[in-house]
Amino acid sequence: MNNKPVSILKFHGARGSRPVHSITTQAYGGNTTCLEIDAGHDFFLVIDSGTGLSHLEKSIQRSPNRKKIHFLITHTHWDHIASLPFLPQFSDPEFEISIHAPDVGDMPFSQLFNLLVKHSRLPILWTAPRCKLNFFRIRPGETFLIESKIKVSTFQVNHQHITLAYKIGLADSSVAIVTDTALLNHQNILGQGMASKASKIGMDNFVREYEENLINFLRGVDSVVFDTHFNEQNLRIDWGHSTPQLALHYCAKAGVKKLFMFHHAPEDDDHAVALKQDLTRHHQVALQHQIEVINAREEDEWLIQSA
Amino acid sequence: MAHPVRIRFHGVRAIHPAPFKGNQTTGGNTSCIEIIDGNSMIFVNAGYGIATVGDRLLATLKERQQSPEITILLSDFLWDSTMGLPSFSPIHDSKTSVKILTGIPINSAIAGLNDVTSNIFSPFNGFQSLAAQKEIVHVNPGFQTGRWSVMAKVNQNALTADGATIWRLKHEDGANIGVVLLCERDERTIAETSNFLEGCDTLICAATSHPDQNVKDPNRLGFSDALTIALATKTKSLILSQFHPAMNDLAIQAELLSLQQSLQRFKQSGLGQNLTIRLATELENISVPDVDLVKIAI
Repeated sequence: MNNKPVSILKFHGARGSRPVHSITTQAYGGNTTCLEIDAGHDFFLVIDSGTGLSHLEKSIQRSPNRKKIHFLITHTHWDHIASLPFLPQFSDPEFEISIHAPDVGDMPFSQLFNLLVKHSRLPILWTAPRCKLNFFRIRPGETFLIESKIKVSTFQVNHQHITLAYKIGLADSSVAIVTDTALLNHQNILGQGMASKASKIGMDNFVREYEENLINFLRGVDSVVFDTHFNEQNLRIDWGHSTPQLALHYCAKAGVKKLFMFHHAPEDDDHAVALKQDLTRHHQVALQHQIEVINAREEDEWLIQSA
Repeated sequence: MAHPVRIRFHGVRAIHPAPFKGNQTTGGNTSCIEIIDGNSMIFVNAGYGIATVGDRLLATLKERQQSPEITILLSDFLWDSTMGLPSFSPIHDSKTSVKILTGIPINSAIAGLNDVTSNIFSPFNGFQSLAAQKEIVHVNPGFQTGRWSVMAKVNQNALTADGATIWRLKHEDGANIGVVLLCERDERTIAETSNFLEGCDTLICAATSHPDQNVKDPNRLGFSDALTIALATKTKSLILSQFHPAMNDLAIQAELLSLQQSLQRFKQSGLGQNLTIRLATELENISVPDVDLVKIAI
């Protein structure tokens, strides 16, 4: 009998940039970035709060005794935070909500959150939170524990401002979430502080170091959720996103077992997203390292268990 | 022969997008309406619905070797009315001219547009950084664009310090459209709005009722408020839009049915004899020339 502990990875929103609603996007869904990892603890662990956050309500209804939510925010673009102010649990005094996020420029996320919710352009009337609300400033490269139970490591990826990839250590497995990142090269250096570091150590050294560090970050991870917004034909690297081939490259080098392709472009209908998966599986066959390639799909739930 | 004026909805949701499977018939994008007369390109609101039409619009116009001139009327600067703008392809095209019409002062409008395009929340660097030729027009009280005469009325609304704009569009060929997308539901505001729109043939009106009938948002109109305004303005065609994100297709249909029953009772007492009511629905996959959703009497 297999008694290995299991965790569940839930995709509440797999779309990038903006939500879409069309009969041709129903299969993979139209909601923007939101994932949940259910490791069986007494809290919800949610990564980002795009419009997929609406689906969290189902998890909350299924586990009515859990009254804590931990958010890991990758960065502050709309498709990652726009639904946060709409979370009903802010007004529930039984809940404790903790938000772990990098700074925005020099501004702590807590300050940005206050601007956001007290904003004169939020389409709902905001009332002061009745839940217990905590903010944690996360610096790139930092490792921390959630409720002394889940170890989270971070890595700054090549995207605007400080955008973090999260590696989440579970009881018997691990997941890395790399929602938004682009190829880093001489012409395309997007992350806050990266250009100045590159000028100190030389661009070639910086690019090499970044690649090595990202691969080391992903090394040994069971499942990686990676940005595959573009393909080789429509790639615009200055927009801060990757292709399936780049995702495969990093995952193969790091020995990853399962790749979830994520951040589907809003312009891509179900057919285009499915085709992307087929082509990536075809490319994967040519690699020496075998990786299971799967399209992230809204409302899908996956058991995360080490092989 | 005059080109028939048509209306096409690209986004029918208020507050928050709702791209869920139970919303296939009605739609899940936030607010955007296209008003088509064969000459001008006019949109009301730039919620996520406007993003769905941008690529196709730009491609069609380039094929015809036309430089796009687009007019966008905004009811307000809340996120559900503006957040699609950064994803609207023509706004990134330097040959496109985009005129934004608002009932509020220009400085407030610029602040609102800068918010949604700020580099904190988007890959862009504020409204001025977008490549299109842009102009913001404070409509007070009227403005002529193409063959349309546009009138604005600003109402106070607790959701936005800027206020919410009610629009009235009159076409040279006779079409007369009222658009109420954000409006408080108190008697005085509804009466003033109805006076402003009196005599319009077609009324596009918010119906943002919450599925829990005990939840009444004082800052947004519900289905019954829309009927009140339609009866007061003596409009012929009431089109309901701006649905609450928690209302799925079935709930919206049920509200429509209930409203039609109310209308029947009014008709028995002599009110609203020529009024018809219908729902706005998103029809993303039909090309613009094929759509004849609402033909307005010319």
